[in-house]
Amino acid sequence: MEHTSLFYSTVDPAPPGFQRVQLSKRHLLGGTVVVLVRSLEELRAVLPDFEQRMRGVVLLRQADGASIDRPPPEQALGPLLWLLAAPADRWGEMQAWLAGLLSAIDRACTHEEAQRVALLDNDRLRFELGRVRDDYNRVTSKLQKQVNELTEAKALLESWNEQLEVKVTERTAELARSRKLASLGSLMAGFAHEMNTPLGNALLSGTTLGDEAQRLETDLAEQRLKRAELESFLQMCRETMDVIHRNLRRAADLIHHFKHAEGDVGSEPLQRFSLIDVVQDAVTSFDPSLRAGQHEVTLDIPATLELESYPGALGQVLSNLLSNALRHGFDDQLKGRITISAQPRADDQLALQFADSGCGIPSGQLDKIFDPFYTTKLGQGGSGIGLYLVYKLVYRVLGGTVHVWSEPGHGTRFEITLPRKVQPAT
Amino acid sequence: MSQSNEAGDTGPGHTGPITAKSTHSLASDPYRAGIELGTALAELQPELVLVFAAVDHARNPELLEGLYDALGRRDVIVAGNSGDGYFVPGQASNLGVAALGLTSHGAVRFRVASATGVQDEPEDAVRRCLAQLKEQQREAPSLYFLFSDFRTDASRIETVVRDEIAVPVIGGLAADDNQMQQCYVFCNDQILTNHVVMVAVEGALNFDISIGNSLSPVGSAGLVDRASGTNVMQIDGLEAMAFIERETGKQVLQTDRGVLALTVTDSDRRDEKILRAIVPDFSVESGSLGLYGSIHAGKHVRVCLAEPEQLIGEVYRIAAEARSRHFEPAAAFFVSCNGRKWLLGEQIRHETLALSETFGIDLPLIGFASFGEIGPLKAADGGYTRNLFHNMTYVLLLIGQARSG
Repeated sequence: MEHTSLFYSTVDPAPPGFQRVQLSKRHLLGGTVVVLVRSLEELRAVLPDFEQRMRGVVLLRQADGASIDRPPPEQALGPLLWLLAAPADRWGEMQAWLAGLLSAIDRACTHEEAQRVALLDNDRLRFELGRVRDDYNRVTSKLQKQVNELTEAKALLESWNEQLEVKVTERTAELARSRKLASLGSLMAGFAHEMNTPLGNALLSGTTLGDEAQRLETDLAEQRLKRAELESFLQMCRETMDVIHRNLRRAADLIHHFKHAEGDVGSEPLQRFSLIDVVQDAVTSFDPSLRAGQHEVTLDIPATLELESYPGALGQVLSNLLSNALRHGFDDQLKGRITISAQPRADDQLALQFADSGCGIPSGQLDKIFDPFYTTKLGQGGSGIGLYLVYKLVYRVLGGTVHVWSEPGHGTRFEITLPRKVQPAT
Repeated sequence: MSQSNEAGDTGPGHTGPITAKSTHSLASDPYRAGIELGTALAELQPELVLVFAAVDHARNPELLEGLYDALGRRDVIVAGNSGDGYFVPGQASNLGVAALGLTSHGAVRFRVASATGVQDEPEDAVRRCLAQLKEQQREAPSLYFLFSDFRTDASRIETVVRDEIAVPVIGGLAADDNQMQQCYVFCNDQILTNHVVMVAVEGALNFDISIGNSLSPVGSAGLVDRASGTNVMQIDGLEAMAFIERETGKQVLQTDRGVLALTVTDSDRRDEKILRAIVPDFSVESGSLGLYGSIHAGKHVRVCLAEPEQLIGEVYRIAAEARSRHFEPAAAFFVSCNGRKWLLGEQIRHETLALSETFGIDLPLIGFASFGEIGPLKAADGGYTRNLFHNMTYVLLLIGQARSG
């Protein structure tokens, strides 16, 4: 706002350039003014705190003939209010004389107001900064609290983790024991089932033979025994003994296979051999079945690939995989394809793949096929020992691993990884 | 205590161009500031003078004494309040006082009334104010101005202006310099607290109202479980502050003024967006949130975050849209949430620059930073919604020439 400069007088007549007025607050505060009054009390009557609020010059009458005088600075009326005294005969020249002074006061007013604005803006900024500082402290405090909570939570978690580890170890051991017991139960059930048939047959044949011998003994005591009956009995003895022998042999074979599967490699020595020879031997032993089904076997094995391992065990693995493919994979299907391939790996291992184009294995059965006595051909020649034997021989005897991938309708693939040199301790 | 008077009563059928002038003063002496305003407006011979002042000036009765002394007339209606500073063409000021003088040359009549008790019984205070205006009414008002002490539940003021006044009501809550300690409303030469002041504009005034309230909701909605007055205690089973922290990832801070608001997602009317700003000063350690207006239990709310660019963009958009409607304003008045000012800082000047750049620097305008805004939203049919109480908004009234007939 531009300041206006006005000259007022309560003295009558007013000097030239002065306006004669009845003083009001508006006159005193309406701008930067020069007010000619008889005494300061005239101003105080209108505006009690005029010294602080007025801007300009208060002009008082001085004795005629005196020089225009300004009171010393310490007697200045207010921050922007000057007091001058002049004799009445000099009032006529006062307007021109004071114009420059009023202009300077105007500029001082402007600066003072700018300074006030700056100070108030500064106060506002200080207030806002205070809020920001409070927020900073609050956020810092909260963050510190959260860090403490997190530290405590971390310690608690670590403690829980340790307890959990202990529990997991305990539970794992319990689970392993449970599985072992379950596996043993399953094993015993399967083993009993498999042994039951030949031993039952042998027992039944023996009992029948015993009954017939007792009847013959009675006839002999009563002298009713005829030569023909004796000859018939002897024939029966031969036939029955044959049945008993075959069944006991089958039971013995089962026990033998089972012992072998449990890692009893017997007296087979560790030896260096060509992988292709072992594979070809295994395939050759299945020639009749392969020919009968018009199945095709493709071998993709480097002739130079040699192993220092147990060829007999490896041969059994291959025989069981071939048997499994023919019995389960191809079933009644003709013209199946079997591919056996092998590649040496950089880590002194050997990757051996056995894949058939058979019917595949449903996903629900895949995780059971290596279980002992698990078979889908119970009573149809399946013993459930074949793939169990494969698993045990690969892991226990040959020191390798075996995995299976299969999808119904898209064949089955076994991936066997074997060390090319088996450590004797294995 | 109440008072009322009227101006511009030259009788119906007397129309002329609306003329206006805005001015302001930084003079430290309130009387001197009033003199400066009055001197600037005297020539206009205003019928209505809207005055908005920083709180230091607003508390001193000499401000209005000086204004009237300089105007030289006592029949001029003066209304307004203290704000967190004010706006005049091209600038936003934290200090001093501003005024907008309006003269309709008899096209409309202005009447003013005030009523006390707005802190405890806001509905009753507004109704008494309205009753006084109605007693003198000769013609149906086309517009009301409303200015109130901020220490009230403005949602309760809203219930009256929303449900009982059929024409637009423009205004807001007085404010101080963010200390939230005191405020003043003006009714002629009186400086009042705990009052509501209303000005009725009788006759066909041509005006255009726009409200900017584009805050972005974040996070998911929560159910207000417990609320009392302007405090919300529990949302979604959490302390209300914890709900804000859940949705925004940070605690409620003092400097969040202007940043955080709640919007009611299940408003009774789809076109009536309700925003309630969070008042950090009124939020307490117990975890409850203080708001500038109430939100009742059972309502669903979402947190809204303000983005400076969005706030600035919308004031330019609002001005451009008014321009595109070929509205030629004779004066502008706006109420802007002080939270916007807190958030935008110096950039708050855009709220006045947008108008000056769009309609020219000579457009008389005035505005103030408030603790709550009142006005109707634009409705889909081109009219206005009911009068609503808002937060975080920019409520703009453009006053055009009076309609003939």
